[in-house]
Amino acid sequence: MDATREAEVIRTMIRLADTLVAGYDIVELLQGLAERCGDLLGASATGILLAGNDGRLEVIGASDESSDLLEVLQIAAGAGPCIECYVTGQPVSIPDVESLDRWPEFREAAHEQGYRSVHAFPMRLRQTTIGSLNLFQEHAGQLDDADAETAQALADMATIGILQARTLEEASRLSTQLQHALDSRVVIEQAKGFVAYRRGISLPEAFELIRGRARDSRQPLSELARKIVSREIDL
Amino acid sequence: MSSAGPRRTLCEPFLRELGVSGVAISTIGGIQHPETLCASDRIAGHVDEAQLDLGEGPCWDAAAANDWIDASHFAEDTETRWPAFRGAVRESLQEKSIGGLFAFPLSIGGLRVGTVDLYRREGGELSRSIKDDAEQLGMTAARGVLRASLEMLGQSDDDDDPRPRAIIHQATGMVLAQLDVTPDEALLLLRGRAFADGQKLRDIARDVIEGRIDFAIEDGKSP
Repeated sequence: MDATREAEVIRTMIRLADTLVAGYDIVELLQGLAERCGDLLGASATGILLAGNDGRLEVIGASDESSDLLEVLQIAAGAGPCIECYVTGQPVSIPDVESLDRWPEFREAAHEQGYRSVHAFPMRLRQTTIGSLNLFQEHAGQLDDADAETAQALADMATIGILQARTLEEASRLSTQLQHALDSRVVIEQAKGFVAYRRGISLPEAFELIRGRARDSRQPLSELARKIVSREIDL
Repeated sequence: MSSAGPRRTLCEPFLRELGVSGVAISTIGGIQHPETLCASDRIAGHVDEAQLDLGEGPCWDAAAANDWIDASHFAEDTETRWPAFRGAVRESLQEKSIGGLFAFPLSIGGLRVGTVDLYRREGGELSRSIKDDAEQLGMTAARGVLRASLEMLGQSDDDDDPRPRAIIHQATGMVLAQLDVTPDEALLLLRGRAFADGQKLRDIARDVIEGRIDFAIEDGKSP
């Protein structure tokens, strides 16, 4: 890993650690992490999934908002490496999607979108797995050890950030907190649909627009999204 | 039935605002097995019940025509439609309880959900302005009827697919931009449409996202 990347990894770690103290928005934290994995780890695409109260994995952050990536993520979260990683709490690596003999629907979707390899890392603290960090590559092959360690470290940091100092005894509060984050994502998806329709633009474009406005007006993405769907503001 | 309370309130605005004698709302023509959701009095209840039993009457016709059906002089011999229905009403009600009987369909985003019937003791046309007001009230009532219909179908939204639901949320947002509804109602509408079309919720969501279904446009087609 070269020095620039190393410095970038450290900056990202600090940012994730920051969430331990500052007031934060889980959705923005994970969205930001998903976007930086391209630079940090050379991933073509990244998706972060969290499990809701019903145990279903939902997309909480993605490096790009294209429906193609979301589609692959959705399938992989139903039957594929993402759900397996979450269920087992272990990393799952698919160095070559083409040679997969299970998860045919996932294989086909990944192939269609041009992803050759997938690496899923659990978001886990001790016995609790809350989701997975998933890296997609356009080429076949394993991640090198340094990248794999970095990916797991980022997933761990993010998990600690989310869990904060909560103990496992407070698991019910944890699930409430995660559910809250997922509910925020629901509203963000609704806001994307709303703005995309009103402006006649794509869902990814709508997302960029909403996020740009959230940053300009210094408000959390989820708060702005809520205002959009409740028609308090017109975007 | 636990939701009888909220359903009963569906009728009240019509009675209050339109100066009619009675009103009943049913799921005739909707996505749900036809049944009466509310009736403001015994007469309105009988009118709905007879139509449900016999499968004929102004509500059925309003649903089929997707338009108002007027029987301005329901009690007169000049009225020749629905012989069985008129016979049943005459049998169970006093002569001349109903002067004029009117029905119109309820829809939301182009999805038919049910029918309203209104009666007045005296005969005569229902003015265009009363009809306009009724249609206005119908837009609110349609949401209540949709909600009631989906309650009858079961609470779960039949999306047992383990995959994430982002697509459904995005479609919900699009419906919010298309119609003046709440997020809950938008989702209900998607579910209702899925049920009516015999499709999966996800497939309807995809159709909305890709522009094949636009509830704003379909709403324009309804009366």
